Parts: sequence; C-alpha cells; structure tokens
Amino acid sequence: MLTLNTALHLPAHVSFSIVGEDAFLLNTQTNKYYGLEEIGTRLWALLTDGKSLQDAYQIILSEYEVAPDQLEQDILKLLEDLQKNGLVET
Amino acid sequence: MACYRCAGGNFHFPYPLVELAPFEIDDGAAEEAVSFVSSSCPGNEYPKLISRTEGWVGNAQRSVEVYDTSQGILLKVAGSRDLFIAPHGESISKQNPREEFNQLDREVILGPALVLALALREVWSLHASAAMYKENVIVFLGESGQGKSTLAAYLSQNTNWQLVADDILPINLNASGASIFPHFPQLKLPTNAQPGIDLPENLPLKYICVLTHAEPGEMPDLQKISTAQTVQSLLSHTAGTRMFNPALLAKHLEFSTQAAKQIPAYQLIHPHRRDTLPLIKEFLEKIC
Repeated sequence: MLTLNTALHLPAHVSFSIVGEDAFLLNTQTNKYYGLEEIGTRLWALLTDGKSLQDAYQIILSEYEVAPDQLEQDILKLLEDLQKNGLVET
Repeated sequence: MACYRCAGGNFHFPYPLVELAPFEIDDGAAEEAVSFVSSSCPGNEYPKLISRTEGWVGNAQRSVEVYDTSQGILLKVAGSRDLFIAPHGESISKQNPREEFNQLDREVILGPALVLALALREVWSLHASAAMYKENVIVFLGESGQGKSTLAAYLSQNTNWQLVADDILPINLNASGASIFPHFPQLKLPTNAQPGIDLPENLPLKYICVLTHAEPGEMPDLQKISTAQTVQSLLSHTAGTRMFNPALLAKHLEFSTQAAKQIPAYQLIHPHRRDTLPLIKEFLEKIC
C-alpha cells in the first residue's frame, strides 16, 4: 500500500510532456496516454526533479490552499492510478 | 524505376504506382530517395513485436503486425507481402522487389508503410482535411463522419479558398514552425484531382480547427481551445500511432506538445448541416 514515505521509481518506458498546468504521460509499452491537471502536474514535475514523495507533498502543501489530509488522500489516489497504468513503480 | 516526390521527400519504386503519378519527378533529380531495395528483414534475428492490431487496409479489416528489428521496422499486413522499413525511413523493401505490386501491396505501401517511413523522418501524418484561405492554411481534425471532408470541399468552392488535403496531411516542425506538405496522395480523391499539386511543396500551418458534434438544433460556434486540448487532438488524430515503437511515440508526443504551443487552435461545433456551412466560412475567414 502506498504511503507518503513510499520510495517511487519513474520507469524508463514513460515519456512525458508538460504543457502549462497540464502534463501528458505516455506509457510507451502500452501506447497509452494519461493526462494530469494542475496539482498532478506539479507533483509529477517535483518527482521527475528527484524529490521524494514526502518532500513533494510538503512543497505542494506550502504552495496551495488545501487541507493536509485531503492533499495526502488525493496524491495517494493519483499515484495508485499511475501505478496501475505502469507510470510509476515502487 | 519510377521516382516520386511527396511529403518533402523523394521515393523510388521498381514499378510505377499510378496513385503517385501526379508526384512523378525526373529520375535524375532524385537524391536521398526512399527506395525499394532488395534487402529484407535481417536474417538470424527474432524480431520484437511492437504492436498487433486490426486496420482498414485494401477495403477490408486486416491484421497489422509491426516488429522492431536491429535494422528497422518489419510490417506484416495479412494478405500482403511483408515490408521492411529502414531505421530512418530511408528505404522500404520486400522480399522480391522484382515482383510487381498487386492492389493490396500498393495500398499497404501508400498507407501504413508510407506513414511509418515518414514518421521515422519525423514527418507525422494527420488524419485531417485542410483548406487554405488566402495564405492561411487551416487543418480540420475530428472523428470520422464529423464532416471534415464536406467542410473542406465546401470552403474550396468559394473565392479565395483552396482545398489542400482530404484524408491525410503530412506535417513536421522545423526552425520556422509547423509546416504542412500538400504534395501527398489523397487516396479518397481521383489521381487527376489531387488538391495540393499546384501548391508549394510546404506551407506554414496557421490554424487547427477541431470539429465536434453539435446537439440537434445547435448552431455552429468557434471557440479557442487550450494548448493541452490541442495536444490531445494532435495525439488522437495522427495516423499510424498504434504502429509506432517507443522511440517514435516519445518523439510524437514531443511534436504534439511543441506544435500545440505554436499553432492557435479552435473547437468548431459543427452541426454537419449544409445550411450552416456559410456561417462556418464566415467564422473561419474572421480568424484569418
């Protein structure tokens, strides 16, 4: 089960492109695209910048007006979905 | 040997292809041509399957298999001869190039094989129609049956408008921006009515227009869309992406992103009714 302390790995078969507040992730193994909106894009940018999940969470918490529990829940739900689609690995 | 120039490149074939007749060039003028050569898929190698899908080729739904090899891409379409496309799209080959092409071979060559060869040169094939108003090329994207062809054909009947493409439009990005290549066989149209033949070999693309469904009774409307929506449209309406290997998919994503940042794009609510076409023409002329 994912937690904010889980170490994440971004697989080599994932390409991505950030367009303003949106990001497009591509699993080149399945030829499937995945779109991210504002906070998801910020999270992805931080993770690809080498930040840990915990650090990324703290940074986003400081940047947006959002309740800590809600943000944690949203981030973990998104990451589970990304994991299911082969876009992040643990 | 027959030599043709389309989509900004030269193509050599051992036998003439009637579908490419409007694009025929002098054999001596052909340099760096994509050619049909006698070499084939490298032997002693187990090719890696990239995709196995069904596609509409030669008036039938057929299995299309694409394999990655160390020396390029192997394309197998059920009922047709295997084709091998070199890594940078510089040649397309089959087992015996001396055998004349049958109808299905020609459709595979002019369809998926050509799309793949162009993609390997980073020229992408939009599934689109296009028309030009004065100097402004507008490409129309949308699902099949949405009215892309009808709209482009209608516009081209009007003063200052010209048809550019009706089905497939090659596009790439270069230092000056997005360019489209009007010299490309539009297989839905007769050989003697190819629309792009009188146009320059490449033209800047000014606008993207994504046709969307209108509710019954809804009037046409033209609204600017976001860069992210434009990326999505380009990703969805590029032909052949199911055949791309991971490297091509990544390049195509990069192209779609960069093109979307550079080209203004609109959503056209398109009722697909003849009586609304004059209003759509007005909208489009206004943005140009």
